[in-house]
Amino acid sequence: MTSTLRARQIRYGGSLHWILRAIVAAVLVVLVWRMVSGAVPSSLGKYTEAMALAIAALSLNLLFGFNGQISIGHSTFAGISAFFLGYSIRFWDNIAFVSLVEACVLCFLVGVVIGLPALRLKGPYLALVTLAIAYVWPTVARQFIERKVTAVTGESALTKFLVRPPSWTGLKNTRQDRALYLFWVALALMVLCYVVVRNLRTSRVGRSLVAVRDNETAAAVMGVNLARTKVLTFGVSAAMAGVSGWLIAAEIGTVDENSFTILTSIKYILALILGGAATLTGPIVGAFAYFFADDYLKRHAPHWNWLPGKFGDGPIASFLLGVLVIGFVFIAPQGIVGLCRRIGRNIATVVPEPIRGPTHEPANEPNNLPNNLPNNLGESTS
Amino acid sequence: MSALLTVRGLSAGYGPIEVLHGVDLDVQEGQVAVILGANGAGKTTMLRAISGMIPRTGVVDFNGQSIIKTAPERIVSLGVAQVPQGRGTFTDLTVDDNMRAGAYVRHDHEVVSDLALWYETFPRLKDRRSQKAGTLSGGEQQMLAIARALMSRPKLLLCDEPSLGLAPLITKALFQTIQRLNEQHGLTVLLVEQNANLALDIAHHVCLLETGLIIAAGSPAAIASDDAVRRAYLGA
Repeated sequence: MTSTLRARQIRYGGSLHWILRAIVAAVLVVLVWRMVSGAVPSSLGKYTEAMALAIAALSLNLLFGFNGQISIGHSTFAGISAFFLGYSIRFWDNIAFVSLVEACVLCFLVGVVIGLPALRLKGPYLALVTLAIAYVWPTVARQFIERKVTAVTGESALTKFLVRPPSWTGLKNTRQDRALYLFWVALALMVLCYVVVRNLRTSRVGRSLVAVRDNETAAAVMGVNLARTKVLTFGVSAAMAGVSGWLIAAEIGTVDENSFTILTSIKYILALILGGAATLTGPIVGAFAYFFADDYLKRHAPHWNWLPGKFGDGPIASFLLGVLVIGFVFIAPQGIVGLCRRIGRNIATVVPEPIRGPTHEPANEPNNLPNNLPNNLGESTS
Repeated sequence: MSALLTVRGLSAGYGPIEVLHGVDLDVQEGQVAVILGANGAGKTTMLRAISGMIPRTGVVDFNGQSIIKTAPERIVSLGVAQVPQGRGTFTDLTVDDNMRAGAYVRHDHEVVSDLALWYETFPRLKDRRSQKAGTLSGGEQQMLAIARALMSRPKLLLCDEPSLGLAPLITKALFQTIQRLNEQHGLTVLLVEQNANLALDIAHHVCLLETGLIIAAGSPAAIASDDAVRRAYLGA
């Protein structure tokens, strides 16, 4: 408590708060600029993939972090969307963005249907149902490819669908320009998803989501429709996972039944937990941290010869990543963002703007209760 | 004086198990009505049946309108607010967000001025409004639960055992608050309690609930002087 009291107080919406916001915005702009300038397609592609992971983590955060519903089946929604993009561009000559909208609608509808068991099931039981869906998806995807793709073209995966930059961007249909274009599309979609989740969270609807998570009975007596809230949240989250799948498919340019497995879902959950569930920026921070830690280990770990015996070769990267994640969860159970908050709280705290006083004069209001009445409350229990 | 809430032959339960077997109750406008009963008598079930949280049969009229077939969220917007048992604050939301969540069914622009009004009534909550509700003490959380329920601008407040798990001194202050809300804001209150002594002090009308049936009803004085009641609830 003493450190909290000593910490500098920053008023929400005050000038200092705005200066801090401006600094953060400037840092972000510089970061993006550094990512883009002089980047080759492969590194741009990595950023795009990291952003796609961030979108998936954002969608899971909406469902799990804020609404308390666990899903291990989100890879399926990404898969549906990725297949939809591939198939509709290849066989229907669909426009990429039209397919994005259609895929989102499709994922939303599937999400609503899959969300229905969530009305009766909670926690690990709901996780099991969604796990089953993630488990079934590769089989469904294999059947789809065999009947709809292999039968027509003879290929064993959905390929040769390229998302080309439209002419107004001034970008050409080269590998470099396509990567650059997708990078900007990914950034725009990630910001869009972030804004959607943020606005939802701070709104009346968002409070009802958290209310349902914290106490269903109390939420219901506040007038929140539990069934509608849960199912719609599942649907919106599924649609957002669809955005992520669409982006991955557009970036990689080929999808098959192994592109979206249970492991993909686990990756989403890890990114979310690493960044901090139920925080707004956590999913994005976590996705980038996970993606680039994974990337770094995959590139460097196999050459580390200080590792004893058999550990020096083989799939050491994923092993080390696992150790890292477990260790991190011990150090920062609230994720990276939670850890930063804990440290930041000792330096400065943001206090809300003072509440606007009652519109009436207390003197003209005989009905006002005496101010001192509940003041003695809590003293003896706290 | 007219009855704000009229209940006739109300039966409700969970699945095949019926807990309430045809209960009658009148809550007059502007009064504090108390339902006394031991554990398992059906007190909570009664409140949940009135607020539409569980399937029920019989007659429930609120403000001259039948609400027996009305969905719970609609009943809230008609003016029935419930403080659930065990307070049910949203622990991870701030005090402020808890209060705003209470106004979930409202779409008017006076939420902020109501917020200010209730913060004035509960200054302790105002001090803590940017804290998470989970960091509040038991008494503060009970206050928050009541203030949150008031944010929906109820005509009738249903309180489910507000004294549960609170120190006697705090319980007393809490009951005084409920009494003042009733006297000064004209709020009609239906309170469910085991703590008979305190509840009788603020009640205008008392019902005794035992295994799903109302076995006695009347003024607090009449109930308190009943020998059977004294033995069962007042320990004398």
